[in-house]
Amino acid sequence: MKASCEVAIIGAGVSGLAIAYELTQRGISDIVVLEKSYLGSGDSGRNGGGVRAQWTSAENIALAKGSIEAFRDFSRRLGYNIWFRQGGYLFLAFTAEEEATLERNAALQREHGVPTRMLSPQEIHELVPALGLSGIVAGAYHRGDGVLVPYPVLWGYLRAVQEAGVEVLPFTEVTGIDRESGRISGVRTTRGSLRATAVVDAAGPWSSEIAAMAGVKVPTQPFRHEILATEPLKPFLDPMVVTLSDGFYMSQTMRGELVGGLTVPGEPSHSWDSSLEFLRRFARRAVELFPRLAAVRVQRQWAGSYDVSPDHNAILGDVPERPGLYLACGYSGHGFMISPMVGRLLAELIATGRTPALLEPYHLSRFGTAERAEETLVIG
Amino acid sequence: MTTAKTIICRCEDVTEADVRAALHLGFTDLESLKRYAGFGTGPCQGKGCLSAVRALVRETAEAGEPTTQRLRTRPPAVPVALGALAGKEEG
Repeated sequence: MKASCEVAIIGAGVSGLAIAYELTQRGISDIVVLEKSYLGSGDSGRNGGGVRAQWTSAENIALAKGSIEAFRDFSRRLGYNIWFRQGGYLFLAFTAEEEATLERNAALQREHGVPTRMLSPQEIHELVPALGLSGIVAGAYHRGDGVLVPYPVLWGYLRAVQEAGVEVLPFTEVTGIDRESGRISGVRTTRGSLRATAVVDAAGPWSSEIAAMAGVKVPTQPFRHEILATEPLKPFLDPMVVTLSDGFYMSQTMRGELVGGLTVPGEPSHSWDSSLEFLRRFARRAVELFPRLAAVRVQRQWAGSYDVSPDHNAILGDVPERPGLYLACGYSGHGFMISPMVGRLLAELIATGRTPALLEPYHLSRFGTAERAEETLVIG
Repeated sequence: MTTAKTIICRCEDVTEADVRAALHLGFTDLESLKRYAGFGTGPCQGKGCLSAVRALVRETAEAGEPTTQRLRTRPPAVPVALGALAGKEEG
């Protein structure tokens, strides 16, 4: 490891690697990315690969929309096939109230250039014939949403930044953050000290602990979320199917497996244990929605964490009382899908010192001051 | 005796050459290697390939390199039908 660098990024997940990549695109490559375990060992390697523009705020829609464009272009730009398949996201409503929520969201999304439309039960049946329709009153569908395979995104960014001269160090844990008269001056790691002008906290579920090392309180907490994959089936499920009441989601990957999860409420923790309770709940819901899947076998299950912020929106930007520190955390379960845009905007901030307008609503200071609308469309 | 076409993971058609190429690129810990080379996530969930992969890793790894050589377990031990888990009859 070198002794000093311009930017030290904590966390070699998609967030940290996208920021590193966008910095290199701006000519900054004196960067060290520090990862306490293996590449993508946190949530970048544990998510379901869902990418959607169906959100409930103008800024989340803008981040997601720009990121979808970037993912469409990713294989050409970075030389890794990320298997991005735009089969859409279909949100299902089972009550008039849920239908009204979806209609409101769809109107906002259309206002911001995302052509989400409401589907009748008949249209839903035509789109997903395998879906049992009992109780479904309506759906919201955006064809441009989709699923990708997360790891090739990491490899694409990794190769690009390494070629640009960035040092990426797995199995290197940050143990402290140094300050000189209030300003960030470097990090201490299990491989020694590293002087740095800027430090980016992209540590996923550990980001509040990392921020605390710099004396900054970041109000996020890790929550375990479980997920599973079935044996592969012939392609039959085009969109990702989501139900609002329990956060159930399920999609089919390009290699045929069904991948899905649903919310099992729990206490904050770093646990990644798998539970039988999750398997049972997911299976019950999946078979209810897709009766013909009863014979399909679950092949593996795993867990990850959402780094959850009080309003379920990311925390992005600088920290005025701690110059040199940048936050890229609090993604609350939707960090992967907005990572290309977040990388671009944070790189702009770090390189120019000016906060891009789209980042402003995500600033840490919102928790001390004005109230901000909560993102309500968090699933899984 | 192995050849370039020697299959390490029969579930996912991963060859010995694929695993060596991934090791060469620096994916030397077992978790990263599994993801990059793509073995161990098919129907047998690694029961058929892990011993052979570990032998290749041991052969290639530099002494003292920080690494993990254990894979986190992914339940269930054998594939289980959604219908069985849901408490309904298979059908």
